[in-house]
Amino acid sequence: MLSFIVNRVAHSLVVAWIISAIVFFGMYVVADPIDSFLPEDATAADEQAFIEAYNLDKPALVQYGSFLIRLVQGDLGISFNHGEPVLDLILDRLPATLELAVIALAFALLIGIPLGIFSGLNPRTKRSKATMFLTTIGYSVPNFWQGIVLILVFAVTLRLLPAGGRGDTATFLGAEWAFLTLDGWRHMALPVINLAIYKICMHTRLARSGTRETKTQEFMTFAKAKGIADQTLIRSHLLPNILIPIVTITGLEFGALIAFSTVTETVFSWPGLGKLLIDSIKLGDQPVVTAYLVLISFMFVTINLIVDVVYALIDPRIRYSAQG
Amino acid sequence: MSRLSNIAMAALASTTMLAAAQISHAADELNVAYYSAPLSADPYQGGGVPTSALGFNVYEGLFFNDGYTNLKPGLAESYEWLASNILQLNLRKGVKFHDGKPFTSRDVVYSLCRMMFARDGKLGIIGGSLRPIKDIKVLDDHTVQLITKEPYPYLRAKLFYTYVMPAHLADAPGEITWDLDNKCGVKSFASRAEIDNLDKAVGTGPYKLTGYKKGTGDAVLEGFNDYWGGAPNWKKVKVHAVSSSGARLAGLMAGDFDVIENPTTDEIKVLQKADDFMVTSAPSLRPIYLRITFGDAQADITGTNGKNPFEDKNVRLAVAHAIDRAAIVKRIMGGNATAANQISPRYMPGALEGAEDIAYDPEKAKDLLAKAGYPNGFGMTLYGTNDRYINDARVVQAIGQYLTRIGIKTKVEVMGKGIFNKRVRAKDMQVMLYGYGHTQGALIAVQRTLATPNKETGAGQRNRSNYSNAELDKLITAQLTGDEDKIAPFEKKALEFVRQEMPVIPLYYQHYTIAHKKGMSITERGDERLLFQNVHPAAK
Amino acid sequence: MTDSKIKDFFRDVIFGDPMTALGFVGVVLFLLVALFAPIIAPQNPYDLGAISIMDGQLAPGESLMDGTIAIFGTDEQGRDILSTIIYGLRISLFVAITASTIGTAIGIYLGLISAYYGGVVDSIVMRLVDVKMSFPGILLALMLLALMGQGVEKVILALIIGIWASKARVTRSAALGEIRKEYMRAAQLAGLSANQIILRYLLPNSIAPVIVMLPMIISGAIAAEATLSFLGVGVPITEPSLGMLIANGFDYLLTGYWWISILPGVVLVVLVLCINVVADRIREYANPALRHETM
Repeated sequence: MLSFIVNRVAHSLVVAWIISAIVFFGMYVVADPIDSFLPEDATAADEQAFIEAYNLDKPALVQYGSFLIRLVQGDLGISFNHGEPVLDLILDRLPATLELAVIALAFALLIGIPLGIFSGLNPRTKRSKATMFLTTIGYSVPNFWQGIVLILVFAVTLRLLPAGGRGDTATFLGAEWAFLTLDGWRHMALPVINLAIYKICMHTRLARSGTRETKTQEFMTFAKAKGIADQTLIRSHLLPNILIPIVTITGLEFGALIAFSTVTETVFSWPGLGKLLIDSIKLGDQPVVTAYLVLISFMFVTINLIVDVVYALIDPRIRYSAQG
Repeated sequence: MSRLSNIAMAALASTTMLAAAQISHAADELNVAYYSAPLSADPYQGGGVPTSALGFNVYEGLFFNDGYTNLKPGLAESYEWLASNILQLNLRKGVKFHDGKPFTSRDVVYSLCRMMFARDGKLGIIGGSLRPIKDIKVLDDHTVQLITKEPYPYLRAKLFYTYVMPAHLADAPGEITWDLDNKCGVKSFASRAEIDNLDKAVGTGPYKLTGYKKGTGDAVLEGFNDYWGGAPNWKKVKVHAVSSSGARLAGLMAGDFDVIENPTTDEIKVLQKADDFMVTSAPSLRPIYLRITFGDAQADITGTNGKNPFEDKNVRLAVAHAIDRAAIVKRIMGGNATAANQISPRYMPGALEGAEDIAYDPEKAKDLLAKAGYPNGFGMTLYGTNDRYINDARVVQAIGQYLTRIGIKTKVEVMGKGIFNKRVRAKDMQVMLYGYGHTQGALIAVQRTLATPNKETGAGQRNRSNYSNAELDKLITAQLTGDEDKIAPFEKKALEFVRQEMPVIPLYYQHYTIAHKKGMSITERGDERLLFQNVHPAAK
Repeated sequence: MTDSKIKDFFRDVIFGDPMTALGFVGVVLFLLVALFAPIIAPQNPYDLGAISIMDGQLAPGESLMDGTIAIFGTDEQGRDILSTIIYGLRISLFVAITASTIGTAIGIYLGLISAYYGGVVDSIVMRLVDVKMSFPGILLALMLLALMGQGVEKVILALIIGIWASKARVTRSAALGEIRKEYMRAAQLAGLSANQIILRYLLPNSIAPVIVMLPMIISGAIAAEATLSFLGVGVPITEPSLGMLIANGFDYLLTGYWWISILPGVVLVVLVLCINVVADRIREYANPALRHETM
């Protein structure tokens, strides 16, 4: 198990390194920070000072080298646009994205799995087929378009919920959270629905096909023949079996949720990490983009790692093969 | 035929307007939605207009201007040029900082010094405009002399942008002097962090900052009752930074906001029809024009045998006459722009008053093209940004239509401003949509973008067009080294030269637009900085 | 597949279920419209000389200066929305089908050689797959396009990079199952070259799991392209895809000109839905565990 973890961590370092190099050199070639971030009436002296502050006069390789050295020391650099440490910016925005992703994921699990199991137990019924069709619609409608329609219906036409922004926040554990205020929930409703719909559909489908595949297996037929009650059957035989793929997917999907929040946050002007990324890409704020993507790749690999460990705990058979 | 859509529109409009203006705040509270977040409560920390706009409500300069470069007395009540390089300022008496302490000469020296050391206490990221100052003499508590190395006619204009901050909040036990090598004798200036957390966010302006959220940029201000210029209009002002225009509009309609900045052209059309809201639009300092890269033909030019057609003045004039400015202003900008006839916004002090309009005349344009040797036109790409000026990507496409119609087969390419700026530096785009105005007047803009680059004088610092003309350089130098009251004639000559030669092809001047509840009256500024003292509540 | 098998497939799978049949007809119609766009569309929206801002922002049903009626209205450039949707459909489908086909082909090829040669080739390919899979696809594409700039061919490239990896993995495991079988040994002993074996035997017997996924891959690519264009890093404004049209219309959403955004959106959703309905049915049919389901 230990060597497995070490292996994965090494792997994540390689990925993060590749990403950082691509973004750093790519943005170095593509975007010009000086004219984009200095005020338009900046003087030559201002320009010189900006160049020196960010070492922009050094060759790209030297800049990248010092970026890596600082990165190892935990310093992600200073944003061109904000003039503040990138780490501060990211930590400022992280809670907004986290609360969105966690709540959306909770919805996906709480609604998706039961829905999937019931529709998988009776796949030929009308209700099950209708559920399936709805989920097909749900994941066919691109995320951003769902968002647009939600705004049009709930914010513009019905005027029930705000079209964007995060609303009031309250402080908890040293960070600002919207889920602690009523106004925050009002603002969060549409983005959470937007982010959750796709995941609900996906979990429903997974649970459904898992249920269908499992229930035809011999041990299920056997258990049923023994006269075990349906509820016990579901809880102690069906659930553990369909949970394995769901845990895998959920882990990966949590990473994808954070990634996909870029879209939702753009549509709803939700001030989270995704919006920070899109804004920074558009502005060419290279330090922010590089740092964000490096962190995301770390996070993604960490999540994968956790998934593998949980996986092993749920299903002991995997532990042996993971070592091999 | 359009009835169906009218019904749909009406239905949408009625549902959207219904709940509007129902919720109202306390009468003396103003809620403003900025289009972009102030990056800091310290106005020197970059971030462009929103940061400095917020700052101007809290801090004040030694001179004010009306947003159109006309200077008015500020914290300096009066002034006198004792020589071409000595400006004496008589400071206003009885001015108090938000913490109750009086404003004196020491605060002036400190504030100018802090501007030089505004970022991380290091010299000079944004203080460049004060570098010509050689020395500052304090005569008494309310009289200061600024001595420059050379005559510096724009000094007063620059002093609008020095935010006066209190010296007593800095760590400066001794005398504060203009000694840049020794940090002016200040141990440590008020830092950005101390201002952002409001410990030292203290100015003399009509509003004091009582809340600022780093990250989102939301701010709360309270009226400062001891303000020297009279009672503030509002007891409380809340600034919300909302980057999506749709969300700003929705907030206005829901009654969350009283004033929103920069509604889009399409939103303005809807708001103008609404009963509860109105739109106020002010011409801005920013001219939008087609900018040309001189010298070699770039890769996107075809059908000219490798020549750069824009080196020929006839081609530039042809392009100028090919474009229907009135149509672009009306159809694309929704009327919120002014057609251009010169590089300086025509309503600015110092602009050429009798200048002719540039006629929309496609036939003349074709003749000019033929005269230049391109009777069948040529091919080119028109470049532009999609995130920088109002409707920029749409304008680029519309201009593409007009050029294609006179035979210049035009492709259109738009990109984000980071990439665009890189290519501007690389000079590989022959013609692009660009806009550059300067808060100190059109001539400074010309000096920076069209004069031959000169590191010593700072001329041509933003000239990335290869344009170089000795005559224009002479006209510009003449006015930059004279006395403040003698620069106007030179300014006119230089602007006239640019109008005739057309090294850039003027299109229109962008307007700064805000939408607000009906009944309020607002005076806007051409420099796009909204002062809450200029927002007057609706009469009861 | 023989002719009769294809016939059976259409009879049982596609037309055996009314929903699937509807979806299939929809897909065919969309393909035809995209293919014949220049003939069907009232206007060529890409010809800057043919459109005029004086026709801008007409409501659905109003007529242009030349007398033609804009059924879906026009945008601010005076482009007929119906025409932009027809051409946008063409771009969306072209981008998605090209990217999916190439991306899947690359994935299949890498999966096959990885399985056949094993050893160093296998570990290199699988490491690459791991690297790719450990980064969210949408962010990868976003990053690449931010660096490469806009352009149809660039979007295709970014999508290909997003598509190939999982297909390589699936093909590899299917191929590994095949390699152990007797006929492979026979082919090797018969002296066929590696390429011949891979192409003639391994390929046809291992691609089924990926091929069933193809419709899904295409619909995913359509949605991905639309999302990227919506975020502002996709196709250029002068050649708008459906996603780009929606993004352009987003500015108008709260202003009453809702059709500029909603109509292309409806087309996009119906297109993806049609493909997915068919894709679902095929996948379900292809899954032996479900085909023999009792209860």
